[in-house]
Amino acid sequence: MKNETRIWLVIFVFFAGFLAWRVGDAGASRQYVRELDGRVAPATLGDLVAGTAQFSFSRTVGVWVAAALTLGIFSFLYRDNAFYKLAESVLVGVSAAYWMVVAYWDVLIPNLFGKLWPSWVQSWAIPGLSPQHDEFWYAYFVPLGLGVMLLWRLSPRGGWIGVWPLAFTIGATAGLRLVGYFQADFLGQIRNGIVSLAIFKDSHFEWERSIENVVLVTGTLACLSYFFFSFEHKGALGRISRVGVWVLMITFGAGFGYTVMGRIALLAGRLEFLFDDWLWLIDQNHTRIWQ
Amino acid sequence: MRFNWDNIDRRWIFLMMLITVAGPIIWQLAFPEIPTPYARAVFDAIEDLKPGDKVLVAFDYDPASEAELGPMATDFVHHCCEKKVKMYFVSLWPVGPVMVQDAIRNIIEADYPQMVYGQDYVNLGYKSGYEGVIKVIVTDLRSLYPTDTRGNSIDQLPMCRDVKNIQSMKLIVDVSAGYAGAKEWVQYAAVPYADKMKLVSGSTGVQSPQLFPYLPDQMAGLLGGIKGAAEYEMLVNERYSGPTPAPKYQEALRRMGPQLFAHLLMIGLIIAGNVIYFTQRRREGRSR
Amino acid sequence: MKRMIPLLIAAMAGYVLVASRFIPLAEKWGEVEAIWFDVLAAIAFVLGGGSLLKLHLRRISDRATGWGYSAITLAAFLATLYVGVAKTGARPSQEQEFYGQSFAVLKLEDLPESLTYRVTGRIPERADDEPLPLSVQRQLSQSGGDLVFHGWISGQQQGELLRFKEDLAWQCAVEKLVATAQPPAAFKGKVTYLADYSRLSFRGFMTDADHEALLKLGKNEAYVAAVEVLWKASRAESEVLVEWLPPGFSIPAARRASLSYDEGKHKLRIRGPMSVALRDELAGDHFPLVRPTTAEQRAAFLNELESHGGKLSEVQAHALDAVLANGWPVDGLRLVLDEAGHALPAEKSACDLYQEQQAAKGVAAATPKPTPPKVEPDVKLNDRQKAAIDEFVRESTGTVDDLAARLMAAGPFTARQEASLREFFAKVPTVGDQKLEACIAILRVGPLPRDQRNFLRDDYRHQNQWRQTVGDLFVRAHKVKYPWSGQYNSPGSWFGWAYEYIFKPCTATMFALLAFYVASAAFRAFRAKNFEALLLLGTAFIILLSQTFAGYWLTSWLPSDPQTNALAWLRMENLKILIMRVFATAGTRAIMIGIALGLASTSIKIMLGQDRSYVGRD
Repeated sequence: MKNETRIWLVIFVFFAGFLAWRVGDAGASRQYVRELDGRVAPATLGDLVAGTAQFSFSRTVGVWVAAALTLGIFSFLYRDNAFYKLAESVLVGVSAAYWMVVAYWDVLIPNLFGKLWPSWVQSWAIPGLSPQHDEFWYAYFVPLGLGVMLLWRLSPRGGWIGVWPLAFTIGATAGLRLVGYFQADFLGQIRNGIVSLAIFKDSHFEWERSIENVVLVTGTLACLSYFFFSFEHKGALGRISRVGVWVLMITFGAGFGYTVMGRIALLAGRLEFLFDDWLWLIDQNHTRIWQ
Repeated sequence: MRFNWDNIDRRWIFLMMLITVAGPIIWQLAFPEIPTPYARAVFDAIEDLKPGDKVLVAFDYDPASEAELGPMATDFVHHCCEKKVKMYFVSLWPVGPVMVQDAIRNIIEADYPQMVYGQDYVNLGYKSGYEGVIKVIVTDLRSLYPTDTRGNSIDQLPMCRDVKNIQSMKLIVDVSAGYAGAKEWVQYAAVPYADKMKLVSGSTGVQSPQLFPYLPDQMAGLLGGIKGAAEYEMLVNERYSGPTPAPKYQEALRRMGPQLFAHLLMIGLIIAGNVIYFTQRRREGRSR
Repeated sequence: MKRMIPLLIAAMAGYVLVASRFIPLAEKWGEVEAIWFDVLAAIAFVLGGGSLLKLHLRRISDRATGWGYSAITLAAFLATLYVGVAKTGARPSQEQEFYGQSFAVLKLEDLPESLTYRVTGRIPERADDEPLPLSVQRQLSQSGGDLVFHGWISGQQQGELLRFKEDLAWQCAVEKLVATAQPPAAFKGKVTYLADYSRLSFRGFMTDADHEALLKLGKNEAYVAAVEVLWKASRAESEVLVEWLPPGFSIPAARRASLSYDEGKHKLRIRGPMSVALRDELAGDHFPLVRPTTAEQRAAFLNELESHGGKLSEVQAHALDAVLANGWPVDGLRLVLDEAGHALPAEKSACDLYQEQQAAKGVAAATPKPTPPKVEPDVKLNDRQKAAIDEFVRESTGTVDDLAARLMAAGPFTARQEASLREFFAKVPTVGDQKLEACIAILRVGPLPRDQRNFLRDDYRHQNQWRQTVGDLFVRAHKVKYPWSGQYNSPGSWFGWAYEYIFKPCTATMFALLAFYVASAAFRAFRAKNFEALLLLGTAFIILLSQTFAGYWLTSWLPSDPQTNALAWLRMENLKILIMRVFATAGTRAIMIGIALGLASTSIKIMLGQDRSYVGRD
């Protein structure tokens, strides 16, 4: 047996023992619910303290499944392995289905079928929907038709039919974004960038704010000059674009700092799940004072 | 076994990161926060609302960003409940409505049971189309949202009866993880209807730097990542929760504990990497 | 032609959306197109699922490398799709279940003619040409100079009609119509017709008299069949085993026709469905409510608690005292009842206002002016009633019904005051609730032996057990009306389980991996090889430090206010603000302007048909 295998075996055995101790001694990972009027909800602290909460087998199993999948994905950090591939495969399948189900129930049923055949949809799926047609309800045959054409892409033959809805999507996106970006990101940013370079407050010259604004305006212009490739970057333009590069480096450095913070927060969230919900090593929300 | 600093196995670095983040979580280390003007601007924007004002709350994130955005979403809802505003929840992300349901259950139903669904808050749910959704609801809410997530006709809900479109919202509060999110709300709602709608946003650390140019004219305030969330949380707790806020309203502050050590690790790793690099270069230079 | 049509579609789609932004007339077209776009985006998700299915099926059939994992992907996909589309385990929507009502299918055209009502009036036209609200379109029509309504008008329909137009003549006509188009007085509040649902509904238990009266309203086959369905459903019997009965429990007199308790078999029975109000009444009214306590009473309670196990620590005793002191103010109750006793100013109806308007215009009134309603005097609590409240506070038992009866016996007590009394006490916890709250407060600050815990929580347990019993009966007595109306991802559903325990942890963990890679990348790749790299790293260090308490601590010795001392800008938190507000904003702004220009150019190329990459080759 290789050394590495031996070490991992020892680690697994110890970890299994640790898990057995947490589950057996502390009752870790157990999930409780409250069932009332035929509806199930997570048990409140009151239910847990009173002892009226009911043990939920499905949710407890769920926590173990979630923990196993989490550790399986983390195992990729050591090496690509079967556990990771299994977790990844499950995630791909579940995600794709999740998005399909959401699209079906949240959009297609109320906003497509519910407009074309409202009384049918109202009779079984959305009782609160009005069974009456809207004024121009027949216009919804257009997205229905385009949708069928889009799904034709799955067919081995006639996939070209899917180009029409694709063209519609691309054209609509172009139209939407042209105005949106132009107004907010072009004109809006130019407007935001036009600031006073000499600020006076009560006849008093405000040095800090004025310098800030000068740096802001010159920095923006310098960065813009860096992105201007119609002329070679030499001479005055070269020097200004160099300053632009420096401003961009500061921007990217700041972006890196924020990104690191974001990633670490995500890791902290997963570790909290493992230590709190699964192993009961910590009780961050004070939900286990009844123990 | 001689440790090869020049070619260190990256798994040791992974282990260092794991220990650095896990330690403060297990020992529940937390540190005080000092609110910045950006967090204060967000706080003031909500604080200036009056009871009964309409607020559109958009949860545009998914479980991948929940660790970073969940705490600020909690605090936004908490603050809005304390201000007794009417909350209209929407989402541009498919998983957003689940986040909304969690917020309703954990905050509104748990701590504000006097609030009535349909009168004080409503979950309108998710619609696909990203910025296309915003494009529609700025002029006509009903055409895209005939019902809420519970199947109630929007006309049956007292708080939705006089709402033709989101221009009647006093404030848009967006929790954004990427596309579609804060940028789209700026481009298709806040800027075209600048005289009617005001926007504040909380976003991930990755997205926040891209939103700073919108401040303060196109966006009234911005919470940048978990740090922004912690600052805002502190302000809300100071104003409304007293000296001992409930643990669920201190989640952002708790998550900042590991940040301190992890950031120091990052700085240490960068410095160590550079030291090793320059030492190696000098060694190579000498050997030539 | 094959290439031209997609180009034309793309161009038109773009032009319409651009035009809708600038031309008010085109705004509606833009809205419609955006809705089509949104629907198509949803269908794209279906396409994504279909593509996944196709890809992995091919891999399995070709026995490609890793086909086993493809099989797992497919299995997960199909299982999640099934439980999501079928809403497996999802409970029906509570708002659409109409608890306490029995339903029978009855189309609008099958309603008896006797349920058609006429009043004089005209449907007004609106300046924006908006038609009548959808909820009344099928039932309300104009016939000559009369408004004709088929069926009984609901509160929601009334509200929508009144809001339809701000015109007193119209609102007066609506008021008359509402007064007319109601079920006979004998079963007002019991029977309704829901046109949008095509359902005739009966609330609660149907007596023989109700049955006969309903049959008299119409003779057609469909209507009679519907009444028979209601008759059967509203008398269906359900029962539940009672393991614990609240002491002194008795069936309220008004409910004895439908509710009964079999003492021998310990079974609680109901005929017909149970409404939410009845459920809450049965579940809530048999437990003593919290009373305001004195310091002596709280001390006595503490002694009693300590006799069950041992002395509490000072912190625990303090926590207990805080909970017990949190009662309701007696003066507050008196104030609420006196407020409720204020006579409401007489409200004029729309018809009254319309007649006044006509009179002011000099138009003779068609009917004599109605007598203004009599204004009732204010009713305040008298001394006997105040004493009754004090007596209620002193006793440990006694329900809200008892108090209401005593207040009525002691002096004038209006219906509004009684409603306010019940509303007040609806928010007051029971003694069991308070004791449990005390248990939680004590446990938060220290341990508590089992016997003391049981002393504090036994009342709540009994209360909960009774509530569960009533809840069970509530569920058994209810016939599900719309099994598919619930949310597909509700707690308890299988799809919700897949989200909570598979999708959520996997997605979150995938992104959490990035924290490790960013550390590894920082160590391996971030080299200060030149000035620019040094700038980047230096900024990163400042931001990384300033995001944490370490940065604040390192520079806390510097002055804090940049307005008064320039050195304050060297504090980490101020440096971060400076970097983000000035440098990062400048850089990002330039990038945004560049992207906007590039995007505008690409969009225009698409709309002009110059960019044809999406069309593909011939």
